[in-house]
Amino acid sequence: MNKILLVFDNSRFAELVRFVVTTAGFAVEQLSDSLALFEKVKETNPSLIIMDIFLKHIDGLYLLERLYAVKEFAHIPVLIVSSRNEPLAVFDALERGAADYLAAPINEDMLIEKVNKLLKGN
Amino acid sequence: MDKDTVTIDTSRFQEISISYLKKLSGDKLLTFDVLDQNGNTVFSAGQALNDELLKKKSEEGVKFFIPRVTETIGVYDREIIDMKKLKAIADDTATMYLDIRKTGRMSYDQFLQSHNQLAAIVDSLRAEDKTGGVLSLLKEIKEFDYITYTHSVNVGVLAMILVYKELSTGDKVKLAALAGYLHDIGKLRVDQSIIQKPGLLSYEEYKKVIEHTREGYRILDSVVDSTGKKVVPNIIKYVALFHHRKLQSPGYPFRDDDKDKSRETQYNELPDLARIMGICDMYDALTSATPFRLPMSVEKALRYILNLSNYLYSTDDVHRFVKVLGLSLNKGNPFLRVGDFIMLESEKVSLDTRKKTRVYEIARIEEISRINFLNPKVMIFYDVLRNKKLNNITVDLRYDTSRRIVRVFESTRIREMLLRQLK
Repeated sequence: MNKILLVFDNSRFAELVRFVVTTAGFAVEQLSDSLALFEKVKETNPSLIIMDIFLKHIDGLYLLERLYAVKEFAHIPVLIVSSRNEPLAVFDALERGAADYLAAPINEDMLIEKVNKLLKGN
Repeated sequence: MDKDTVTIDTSRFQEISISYLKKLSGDKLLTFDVLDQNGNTVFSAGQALNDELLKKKSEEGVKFFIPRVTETIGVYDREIIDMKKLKAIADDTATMYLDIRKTGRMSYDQFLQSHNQLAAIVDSLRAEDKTGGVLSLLKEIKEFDYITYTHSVNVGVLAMILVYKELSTGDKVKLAALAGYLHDIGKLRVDQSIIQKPGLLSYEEYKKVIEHTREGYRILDSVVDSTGKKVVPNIIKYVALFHHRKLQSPGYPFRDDDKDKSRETQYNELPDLARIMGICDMYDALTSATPFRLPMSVEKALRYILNLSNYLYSTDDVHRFVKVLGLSLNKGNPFLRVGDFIMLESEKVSLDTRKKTRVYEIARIEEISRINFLNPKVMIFYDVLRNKKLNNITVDLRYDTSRRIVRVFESTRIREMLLRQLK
């Protein structure tokens, strides 16, 4: 079973993504404290991580960089879903290893399509 | 003094007339040294000239020389700061930091000592270092670990050379050196095991690390001389407090939510030195080994810093850093190469609404020269905002200063994607 880990500090945003993904029939785990990401990933071993780059206590891009610096996590694709909609942010995320980027406003069909595509490639 | 013999190297210095210097006299400060025909300094950078002084010197038979403009190309085969001196200051710092860690305070004598040490290095810098010279940091000495004190010395040296190369006056250079040297002093009150922890920090630990900026301010603020007067200049305290503020990312200490001001304005209102110190700090952290990654090469670190423009730091500050220090750190070689894919940023002003929008284009570097390595000749082929392939146009950025490089792409995935666009 494919498990998806959601990393969001913005609860409204998290609710929306959670709703869309669970309705499509995926198993979802949610992380409330983004600083505990490493432990959570080890514990749940997700097939995909969906995360925001606006997090409360840590910069999302920096977190992404740290995640991929750990060898055992390097195979997990990360989909960034963020309200930051600038070309620089998109390229920055891709440069740091993110598999794909979806900028708000969120299009549900697009989100599901991207999730499916990333899980298939895994 | 013999009026007719000229012993100064005329290939490197040119004679200037007294009337030229007279034009510079007044309130303005000199930004370069003026020498006499034997190579002695007559007026040093930072001094203000007046007509009387000039007349007196001229009557003594002094001819005035200034460095030739061709010097700006620079010679990159000499170390700006000698490694022995760096090692000596690192050793002294280690003892001093150990003391401060024990007592949690900095004494007036300790402050004076660090001031004098750095002042000695600043005074030994030569005029020709302004345009060239190779800058090595403490990590070139293998036996040093990455600990707070080597980092402090490195950041101090970086900030000092940066300000020095911008032709600033002696006092400003000393201040920058001292500010860099003391920026992390608050870390001495944070548990060492937290700072060296390899994994992600927990929220509790993170809160303690954040405190190092405020602790630094407190330590520096409490340094008093024998009469009880506070001695540390304000700007040094501000650097300790604000060097972790960021442009787009939160950074810390956290700012109050000021709804009237954009993040960008709030960031730009920080003192100049605090913003630039953030970049020096970042550069040294990147090129040093940390518990979770290997040190980056100089070239990679400079490219990484360039990629932070308009994200962690403003484009102006990043360009200021790489422009002034890029060559010296990378042994005189530009860190951008022909064939690199880059993103250019420029501003478009709408004719009717006067609204400014940023335009992003992707280009490939076609030709690059050492002096103008941030303004290469590029071929622009893609408009990012409109998501559209453009007809290839070649632009020489030396003559088009509205476009600035904000990203250089490293990932092979993006490079392949862009190569497909070009075909």
